[in-house]
Order: sequence, then structure tokens, then C-alpha cells
Amino acid sequence: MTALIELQQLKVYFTKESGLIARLFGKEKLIKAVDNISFDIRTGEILGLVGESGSGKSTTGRAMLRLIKPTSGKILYKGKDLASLSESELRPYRRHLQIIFQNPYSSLNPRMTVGDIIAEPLLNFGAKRNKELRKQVEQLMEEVGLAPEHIDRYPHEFSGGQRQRIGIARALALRPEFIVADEPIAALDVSVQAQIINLLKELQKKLGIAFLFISHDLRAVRYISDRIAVMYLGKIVELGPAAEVYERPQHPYTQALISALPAPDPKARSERIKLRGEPPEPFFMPPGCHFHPRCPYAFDKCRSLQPTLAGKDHSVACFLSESR
Amino acid sequence: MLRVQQLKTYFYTDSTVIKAVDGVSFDLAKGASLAIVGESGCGKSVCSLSILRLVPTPGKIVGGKIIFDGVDLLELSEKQMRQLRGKRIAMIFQDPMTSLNPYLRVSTQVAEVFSTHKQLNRNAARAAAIEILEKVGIPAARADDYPHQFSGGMRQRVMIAAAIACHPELIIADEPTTALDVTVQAQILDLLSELRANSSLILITHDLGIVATATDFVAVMYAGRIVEYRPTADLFSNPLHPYTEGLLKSIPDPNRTTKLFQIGGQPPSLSNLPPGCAFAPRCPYAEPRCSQTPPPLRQLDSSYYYVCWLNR
Ligand SMILES: Nc1ncnc2c1ncn2[C@@H]1O[C@H](COP(=O)(O)OP(=O)(O)OP(=O)(O)O)[C@@H](O)[C@H]1O
Ligand code: SF4
Ligand code: SF4
Ligand SMILES: [Mg+2]
Repeated sequence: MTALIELQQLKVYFTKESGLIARLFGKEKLIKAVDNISFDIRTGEILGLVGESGSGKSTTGRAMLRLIKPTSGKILYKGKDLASLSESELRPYRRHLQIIFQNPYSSLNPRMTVGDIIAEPLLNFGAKRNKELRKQVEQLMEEVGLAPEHIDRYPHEFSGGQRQRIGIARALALRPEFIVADEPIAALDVSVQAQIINLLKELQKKLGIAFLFISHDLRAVRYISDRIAVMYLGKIVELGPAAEVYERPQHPYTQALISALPAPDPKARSERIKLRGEPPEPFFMPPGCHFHPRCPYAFDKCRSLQPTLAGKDHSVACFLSESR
Repeated sequence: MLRVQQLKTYFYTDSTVIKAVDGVSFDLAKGASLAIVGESGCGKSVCSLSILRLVPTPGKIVGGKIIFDGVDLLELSEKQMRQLRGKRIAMIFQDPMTSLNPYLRVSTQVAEVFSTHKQLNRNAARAAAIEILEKVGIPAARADDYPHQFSGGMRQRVMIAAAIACHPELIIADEPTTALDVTVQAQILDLLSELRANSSLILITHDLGIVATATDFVAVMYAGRIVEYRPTADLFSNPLHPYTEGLLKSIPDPNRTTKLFQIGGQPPSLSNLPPGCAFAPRCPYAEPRCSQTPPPLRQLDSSYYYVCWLNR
């Protein structure tokens, strides 16, 4: 499989406005939300991106679609660097790159009918408001499991799971090749999460769409993804085939993350790797390996030098793995 | 120790009655822990707020009994309730920011619990607060910080400190770790189970992993009612209610990549419940009578039960 979209040394920095005095003296806080990451997503592949809140998952997804301008680095879509394009040069690419948001309640315009919400991207790309368009929207609704009879209803008349389906239908309208799904199940009921996971997987199989599936739900990520990338404080610390990363995690952070998952089985008394503390504020980035203040294995080198992501199919950014 | 019988809490809005809790019954023994699970809006929080008699308007407890240590809490005066809350029954909420006062130092807020309920003087209360904060992992040097200077996990530690301060007989924790990251969630759950000592615990969550690892008993709620109430190990090895069965089956299993089991449809609206079983429209085992007549409560032994037409 070839790379559909490839990130090369992508960086997205934000400056956080601090107090007036700090600003007067030019001491703005720099947040390295995405700090020099490289990976690719192959045609038709689901790449799961996991990590704790604030680790940079959403920023990565948004930057990939150029919804945020990266500070530096390349976003190669079929070899073309999206990072270097102007807004108007980007336009033809936009239709191939779509997003599904976490919150199905706030991401749909409450004053538009479901039909209009789903048709909007088609109209933006030149479709005419006519019978065929309506037909196309009805087909899209069916594709995601919504009753086409409800085409003239408003979002508030739908449940959370159904609204998420509306968002998915809208994202599918232009038959994209790549969709960023940013925590698409986080706001949904437990029993409805499985419905959405099944739907996304089905769309991948049927339409060959590639996904970046962002979630903090490791079990869901393991289930849906072909490969998993683990993020910690702006960096990818581990990347590999889903079964490999889940069954044989190499990075101490991934190991802790997986062992912290409470097993849905009262008999399983797992040995938990306990981490000290919490992820630091992103503007107090520790020197060396970002994970060292919480890492049970940290040694001298970790406090001053940064490990880089290395390895072929299953790569890890940790000095322990380097020496192995 | 705690016996809830036929508890009903309804919300009265302009045009409708929302039956948030509609006839809930369960017993909880001294020192035991109970998980209440269920989907968003099924009445878990309203149920726990009812036990504390803190139901927000326009909600009202319209029926039932809450027997705590031999006394029906619904018969107590508001003043008697206030003496109980925080002392004999403590609570921990999902978002500690809403229960902590942003303008008071953390040590002051925890000290308040000691001065109100233990009548300690100012210095003694402060000393006790600092001691208990250290116990939950907040160093004395940070005790005089304000809540916003803490991370989510540390704020939840403060809430735990305040909750366990008076050795309550019952702790109610409503989604205490939902807003936290997985690795921090594990720390907080460990801390809670370590420090609660002999207190009984009601833990509200929608995470079945937490239920399995942290509690002795489970009450599964659906549309304002408990549909299954069992010891945790029994419920996980042999769920009896079809909704419980569906929930357990829909957890992604890392060893399987076949299509995930899904419960079709959506939970019903609590203001417009069907006459029979509320789960009937989604239930793979539904029979005609299910949607017409409320299913029977099937007692398993003195305290445990499930509510379904199926006899399993
Ligand atoms: N202040 C209120 N006014 C009107 N209805 C309310 C109010 N508070 C709760 N309800 C209703 O009571 C029902 C039960 O709500 P509750 O908060 O107990 O659900 P829950 O099970 O705790 O859900 P979640 O998992 O989302 O926390 C819901 O239908 C809700 O809309
Ligand atoms: S590089 Fe060092 S601190 Fe970082 S994860 Fe590896 S062992 Fe831990
Ligand atoms: S009563 Fe009928 S519909 Fe309800 S859970 Fe039991 S079998 Fe299903
Ligand atoms: Mg709740």
C-alpha cells in the first residue's frame, strides 16, 4: 500500500497569551502542540491516534486537513505538499479531505434541515439544487443508516447517535479519500458507540476511505484501526500495527496506558504499571524525553536528550528500545 | 445499611413529566461497593442526588423510601439532612471545579469540613486538613493553593480528601474519573478504594471496565429503572437482562476483529415511555407481551433480581 497522506517533520506551535507584564517583556508562552512528527496514512487504511487530553491529537488532525496552518513541515497528499499551498490553491483538494467532529450536538447548524446540512458541501462544489441532489442526499442518508423520510427534519429532532450519522453523511457527500474522525464516539451512549464504530469500519471497507481515527478509547482504537500511533506531549512515541502495539507495547507510556485500562472482567486482576503524576502543562515541556518525569525507567540520558522515533514497521521513541 | 425502596423522582416541566427515576429499589451492605451503570440520561445522577435529597428543581421525589441506618431520609428535616451530608454521607462529583470554591484555598475548604462537622477550632481544623491532603497525595507545600492551580486529577484528590475527612458511612461518587486521562483515572480509583476503608460506596459510571475492577455489586439502569441488580462477578459471567447482555457484548474485544455486536436503535425518551418494557423496541428477544405489559421482577435470592419477561 502506498502513502495517501504523509506528514514530514510537522510542527504546530501556539503562543499562549500570558499576563500583561509577560507580554510587555515578550515572554509569551510557547506551546508546542505538535512537535516534529512524521508518519503516513496509506490508501484505505484506518490509523488510530491515541493519547491523553492535550497531547496534540486534534491539532494533528486539523493540521493534516489544513484547518490550522502548520508552523513548519510538510503534509504530502499524493506527493503534493498541502502545507505550502494558499487557501485558493487548496480548494480543489478540500473535497478529498473531510472531518467528523466529536460533538454531534454543536457541530451541526440547528437552523438547517438535515437535507441542507448534508447537501452543503455538494453545493459548495458546484452541485445544483434540484431533484437529483435531493436523491443523492437521500442515498447518503441511507448509506449511514438514517431514514431518508427524515430529510426535512432539524438536528434537534435526532438523538446523539443519529446526529453523528448526519455528520458522517455530510463528510461522505463528496466521496473523500481521507477523513479525520476526531473523537467520533466520545459523546455517544455506550450502546450507540458500537453502531458508529461498525459504520466507520464498513465505510472503509466499502468505499476504501482512509481514516485518522482520534480517540482516547484504546479498546475502540484497537478494534477499528489497522495501525496505531501513540502521542505524548506533541510527539509520536510509538507507531505500529494495531495488534502489535496493543499486545506488545514497547514504549513505557504505551505500556502504562494499556495496563491502566480497567478490564471489563472482574476475574482479571491485571498487574498495573503505575505512573507518577500527570502530563505536565504543555508550556512546561520537560527537557529530554518528554515522558521522563513520569517514566518508571528513566535514566540520566533521558533527562537531557530526546529519543527519536525509530524502527521499521513497529517504531518506538525510547532510549531503552534503541539499546535493545 | 442503605435500603432504597420504590424511589420515584420526577421532573415537572411545562408540558411533560420526566420520570427520571421510576421505582428504584436496592440494598447496600455496610462496607460494600455498588456500581450504577447505564446510558446518559437514564437517571443515574438523579438517583444519587435523591439519596442526598439534592434533587434540582423542577424535580421532586414523589415516592418511595430511603432507609439509611434505620432512618428514612425522606422523613428528615432539611436541617437534619444538612448535618448528615458531608459527615455521614459524602459525595464526589465528576467535575470537581463545580464543587470547589474557586476563591478559597484548598486547605481552607477541606478545613471547613472539620470545623463544621467535628467542631474543631481553626488551627486544629487546618492541621487536620493538611494531614488528610497529604494522605491523598497533595504535599503540604501545595495545600494553600487555589483550585485553579491544580490539574484535574489533583482537584479530584482534594474532593476525595474532603469526602473521607469525617469517615462517612456512605460515599457517593458520580463519574469521579470521567473527565480524567486513563493513567490518572487509575490513580484516582486506586486512591478511592484504598482510603474509603469501611465506608460503603456508590460509584456511578458508564465504564464497564471500572465496574468490573472496582465494585462488588452492580445495578444496571435503563430508562429510570434498575433492570438488573447482581453481584459484579455474577453479572459479568452470566448477564440475565437482555440490555446487560447487549452492553457487555458491545465492548470491543481486542482479540476479535469481527463485526462488533451492536444494540440497535436509541434509548427512549423518559417523558414518553412505552406501557410495557422500555427496552422492548431494541430487544432481540422481545415478544408481543413485552411492549404491552410491564415485565415482572424476578427475584434471584433475597436481594438480587432482574426485570424481564424472559425466565433465564
Ligand atoms: N434539572 C432538570 N430539569 C429537567 N430534567 C432533568 C433535570 N435534571 C435531570 N433531568 C432529566 O432526568 C433524566 C435523568 O437524568 P440524569 O442526570 O440522572 O441521567 P444520568 O444517568 O446521570 O446521565 P449521564 O450519564 O449523562 O450523567 C434525564 O432525562 C434528564 O433530562
Ligand atoms: S527515553 Fe527514557 S524516559 Fe523516555 S520513555 Fe524511554 S526510558 Fe522512559
Ligand atoms: S421484557 Fe421482553 S423486551 Fe424487555 S428485556 Fe425482557 S425480553 Fe426484552
Ligand atoms: Mg450523570
